[in-house]
Amino acid sequence: MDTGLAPRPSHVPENLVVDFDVWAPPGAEIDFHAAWETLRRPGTPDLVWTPRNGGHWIATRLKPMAEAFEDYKRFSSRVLIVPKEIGEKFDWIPTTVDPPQHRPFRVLLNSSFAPKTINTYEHQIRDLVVELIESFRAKGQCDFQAEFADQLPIRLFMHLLELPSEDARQIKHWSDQVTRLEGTLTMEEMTEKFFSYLSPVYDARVGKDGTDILSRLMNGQIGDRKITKLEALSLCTQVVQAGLDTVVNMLGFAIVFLARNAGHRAQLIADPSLIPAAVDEIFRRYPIVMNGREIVQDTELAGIKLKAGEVLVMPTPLSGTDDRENADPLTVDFQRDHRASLTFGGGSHRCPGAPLARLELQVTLEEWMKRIPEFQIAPGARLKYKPGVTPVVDAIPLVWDVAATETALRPNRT
Amino acid sequence: MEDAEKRCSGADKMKVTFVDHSGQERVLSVPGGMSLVEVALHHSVEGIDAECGGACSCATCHVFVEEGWVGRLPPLSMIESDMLELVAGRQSNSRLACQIKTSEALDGLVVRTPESQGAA
Repeated sequence: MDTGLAPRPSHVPENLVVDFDVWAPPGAEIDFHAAWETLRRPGTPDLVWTPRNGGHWIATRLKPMAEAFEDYKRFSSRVLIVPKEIGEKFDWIPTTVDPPQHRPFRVLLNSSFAPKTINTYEHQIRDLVVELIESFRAKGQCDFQAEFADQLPIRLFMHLLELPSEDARQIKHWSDQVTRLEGTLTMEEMTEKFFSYLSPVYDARVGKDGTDILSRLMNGQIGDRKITKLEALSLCTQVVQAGLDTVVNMLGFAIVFLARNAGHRAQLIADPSLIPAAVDEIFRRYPIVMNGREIVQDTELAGIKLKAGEVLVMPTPLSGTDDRENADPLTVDFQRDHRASLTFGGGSHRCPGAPLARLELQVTLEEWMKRIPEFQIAPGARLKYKPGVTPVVDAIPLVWDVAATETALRPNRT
Repeated sequence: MEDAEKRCSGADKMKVTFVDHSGQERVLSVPGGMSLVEVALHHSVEGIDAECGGACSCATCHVFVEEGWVGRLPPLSMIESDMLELVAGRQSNSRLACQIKTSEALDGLVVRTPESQGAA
């Protein structure tokens, strides 16, 4: 991304200035979440201003992030990404549309991602999870990222969208060019590739009775009229792209944590009913999304003056680890008595994929802990993180004792 | 059910009760900081659809807040107020579960779910 330094605007007090590149926090390749924690020290203001990426605000606490998520009249989704020139090019539906226009598109999405609908996918998810685990369990090792995390969410999603699974690699490649900052495609080029790919899909499914997610979106009602082709392509591009990252990444962070923490594994082995709470806790501790909003009119947030047109970045990793919200926030405690974070955002755009993400993580942990209860990162391996809009662990070599997994797997264990 | 959940949870948690339209109660012990939609989804509470997953974008998490608790909730936001206009059978104690967060101040909260969720 942009490496220049923007000049400090006159309304920004010097004491709020911190030189911080949200796309490359210091040390992010070694530990993404620890790198973000370096931004917030004792005494760090609730909002800081960085001259990087065109100059923008960063919220360092949960409360101002929550306020910005909720109050779309002051904080617009028109620009979600910095630098602003790139953010302005990202115009997908419904993510970049403010209420009230946003609502009919969101309502259309809801039916496909509603919790009750997602729960009907549980068997499919479980079958896929078991198939993937069993493909490497007897080898005593795997690259979790390549052999599991990259597989489950993408294969499931392509199936739900009724897209050929062999197209997944290509689609993910386009998506990664932007979200992983590999930089060979611009936002517009990526959009154009997705639209070209989905256009014949639209032509084939519009006006038909398909029950897959894309059919439902492409034939959706927006108020009292049908969705247009352009709107449908934008909406479907957003949905496809959102399903290809995020869960892929969270699975990696979850397994890395469990690989390094035998005590936490023991808790889940002793009491699998803790798994939903464990998933929630992992989501709290390791959020991944950089979100943002554009300031609509001169306003104040956390007592700090913001000007119309400025961009506020909300790094969700700092929401769950805010010690004003969660005691001892860096500690992963499955039995926490209070758990606040903005992992899935907030307000009208709160992630519609959250129930699906949660279910995928839950089923993964259920089946993994039954089958491979003891495992570790391969000795000597050094994990690398790739930062970006959704950071990911590059490769996760895990090892375990195969003989032990044979005895662990008991068919009558629920 | 209630005792088992308290045993598993370990730490002191907050109590919230969902009463369905037939009078059946689900008494849950939950951490603070969760929206009632999250609580309902995590515990498969019947009577709440929450189609948007808790984004105040669907009005299918309508609940009736028990007397004695109504006044202790934070006031309606603009967006909740807008969305509540869409619910069928709206009453003065109607709220959206996605906008209520568990907390010590609301320990013991009781809400009733309607017979069905949906637009007026």
